[in-house]
Amino acid sequence: MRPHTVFALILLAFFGVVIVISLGYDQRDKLFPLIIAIPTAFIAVVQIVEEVRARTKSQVVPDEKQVARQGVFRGYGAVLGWIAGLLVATYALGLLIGFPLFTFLYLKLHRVGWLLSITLALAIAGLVYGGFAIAFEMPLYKGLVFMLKS
Amino acid sequence: MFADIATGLLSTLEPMVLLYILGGVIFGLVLGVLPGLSGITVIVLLMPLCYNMTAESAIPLILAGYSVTYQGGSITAVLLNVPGVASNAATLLDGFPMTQQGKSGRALGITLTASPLGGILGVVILASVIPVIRPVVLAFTSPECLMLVFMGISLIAVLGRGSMRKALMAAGLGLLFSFVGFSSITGMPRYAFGVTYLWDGIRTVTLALGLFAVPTAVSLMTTGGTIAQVSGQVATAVPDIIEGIRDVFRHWWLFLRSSAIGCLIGAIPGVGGEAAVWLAYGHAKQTSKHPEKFGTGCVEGIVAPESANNAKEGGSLLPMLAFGIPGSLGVAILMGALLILGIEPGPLFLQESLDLTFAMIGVVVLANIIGAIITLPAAAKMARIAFAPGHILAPLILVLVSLGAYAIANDMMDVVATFIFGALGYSMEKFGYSRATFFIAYILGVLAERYFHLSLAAYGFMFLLRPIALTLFIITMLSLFSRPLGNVLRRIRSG
Repeated sequence: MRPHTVFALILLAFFGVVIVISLGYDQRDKLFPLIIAIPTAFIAVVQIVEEVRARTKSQVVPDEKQVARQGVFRGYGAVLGWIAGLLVATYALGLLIGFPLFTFLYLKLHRVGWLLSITLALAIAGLVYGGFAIAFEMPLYKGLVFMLKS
Repeated sequence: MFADIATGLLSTLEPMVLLYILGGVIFGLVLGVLPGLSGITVIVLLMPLCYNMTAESAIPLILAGYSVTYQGGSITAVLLNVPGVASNAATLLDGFPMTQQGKSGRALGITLTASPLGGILGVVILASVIPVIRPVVLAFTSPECLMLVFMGISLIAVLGRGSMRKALMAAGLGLLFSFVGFSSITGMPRYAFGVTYLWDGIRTVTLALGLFAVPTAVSLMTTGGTIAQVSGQVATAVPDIIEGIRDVFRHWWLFLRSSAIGCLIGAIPGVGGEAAVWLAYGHAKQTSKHPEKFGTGCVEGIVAPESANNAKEGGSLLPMLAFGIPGSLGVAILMGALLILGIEPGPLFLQESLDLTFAMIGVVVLANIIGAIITLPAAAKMARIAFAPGHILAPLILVLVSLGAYAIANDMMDVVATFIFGALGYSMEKFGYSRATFFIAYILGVLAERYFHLSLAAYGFMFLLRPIALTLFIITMLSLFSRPLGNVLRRIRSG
């Protein structure tokens, strides 16, 4: 199944869930959402039918395209990994360490020089501490590791 | 009324306000120079600050940043053949050939004069229309406002690029997203799926950051390399720049017409900035005595799109300020920021906050002037930013996005939610679902539901038969069904 169709199916499922959930709400709470959700779900069904019809017309996927797709997926996997890494680092070590650490590691592993990597990581730390903690008096998230320690 | 206008305009000259304008201008220019990072990114990245700032300081910062993005975008369009913002694309046609002829200074002089002056003229037109439009606005009650919301969303869906069906699905999704959280009608939580975090509804900033800033960072991470893929000439001489400034005044009539086109197109929801600049370019070519010179480094070919480009922003502010309907995506996000600050644009806004309206106009004018003063001498140096590698910018954007999301309520859940919306935004972009339509529908959803229930309470379902509401309803239906009906008729005729 094409990713386009999968995405349209996910949207249809969402519209379906909204319709089902709405039925249990108060009359005034469900009226407007249902006016929106029902026609949108219908449009989604039409879209999926069109997607499937277009798919059956062009069944064969050339080998080069398959290989290119695998490369693209690997790229997305790496991006997903970095974003997950950012979230984990921030969650575990807090904003003040997590953000600069992520910046430094990302830059260093993309072959950026030591000086620029360290400078930008320190600039991020400065922005978090100086700009947000001091200037805006924002309480910074300390991170799970430091919260458990204390 | 005149006292309000004077109060509003004078308030922009206070030292702190000027400082915020300067900050916004610098931020907007730098991001405008970077291809892929648009005025939308500027507002989205500045939006989290709204929670910690007053309206008096947040509005100048955000509006100034947004207003000058196009000036920054013109620099790379002229010097590197890379449009900083999509609507700078028309400037390439004659701007870059001029650079190739060694006249980069003159081309920059034209863009950096026409663009801010166009922006100023756009808001001047807006300001002059406001007194006229006020009585019209008063004729709009809840049924008319509801129909206007639907008309705005449907126009954006129909006139936008790509599949209309997908745009309508995006609009439906955006409206449904706006219903998450406590109902404004009964106060009961809706569509929270058992998640307490969602009881307060989906936060505008997390959604905007996720939809627009995260996909930008992801694109930079996957493509890598430098943003500008060309090596450009970045040398400019002061006499050339002055010659370019003179060019704009030599073609003052074209400048006025193009700015008016930009302002008018900008005021129509959904038509978008790109249409405005291409229309102005086409108009300049059609009315030129030497149309054959267009595309070879013609002065008029830069004056027209650049003046329209910034003037359209003044136009797109009009439907937002007067009716609460944003004319473009950038203005929709701006409206989101205003809502966070407790300011609700719409019919009442013009009545009660005329001073603030004119303060906003003053900010746009000042930002454009300051932007031009900064950019004219520094253009060549600024253009070098476009050579910054994507893998250096990507982590910085991701960190800024995370920091911005966290700053909303000091809650790590907002950071997680931002990346979930980022996945949605990236998928929508990848599969051709209009994020603009989605976000505008999300912004207008709460208002639409409120207008709907007010209309029902006041008139029952007969609210649809009120003359203005009915007219707007017919326009909405025509805009939605004209294309499919046309296709059916064509098929019938061809047998």
